[in-house]
Amino acid sequence: MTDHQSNKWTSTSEDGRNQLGIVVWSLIWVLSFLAAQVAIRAGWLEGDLQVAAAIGVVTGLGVLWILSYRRFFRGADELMRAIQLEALAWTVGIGFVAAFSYSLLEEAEMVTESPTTAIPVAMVATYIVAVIVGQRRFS
Amino acid sequence: MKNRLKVLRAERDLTQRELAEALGVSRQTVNAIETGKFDPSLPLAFKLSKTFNRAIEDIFDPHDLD
Repeated sequence: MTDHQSNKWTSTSEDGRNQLGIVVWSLIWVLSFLAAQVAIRAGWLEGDLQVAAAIGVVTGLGVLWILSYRRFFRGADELMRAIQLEALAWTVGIGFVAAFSYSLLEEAEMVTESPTTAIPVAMVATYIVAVIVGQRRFS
Repeated sequence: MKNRLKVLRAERDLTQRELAEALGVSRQTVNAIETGKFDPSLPLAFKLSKTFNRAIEDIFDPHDLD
């Protein structure tokens, strides 16, 4: 089965759709997060109910992103799964180590800012680099 | 693992993409197997065996195990 939606990393057009789904849901989720963050900081949301609703929407979109990634992973062929597993191992490892190391820095009062966005950003960057490295390793 | 995949594919005048479609994997997977960078799972090895009508040992070199 060949069509323009498949590429050298996909075996079927469904794989191509799953890959596109992750990109789309990632963008939607990140944009919703940024929009909610701006709205909260700027005081555009009136009352706890609106704030909770905004957070609920962002969280719900995050869950949909998780489901799209799971769909992609289950449909991926074995080489892509191997690459994704290695990337996830690095990502989770970096996340854990960074979080615990940062907590020690906080204990030692060497830092005062919360790492609530720094660590996820580091994890995303790690994941992207790990996937690129993995794809190049098998090219 | 060393293998004869490229030779077998050439004998049947198949492109990597055509073989990948027949196996239900990506072209990159076929390329990675041919170049010895990736070892297929047992189900995929059996699919290769069936596609080329050869025993798995005739496709992959069993003496090239670490």
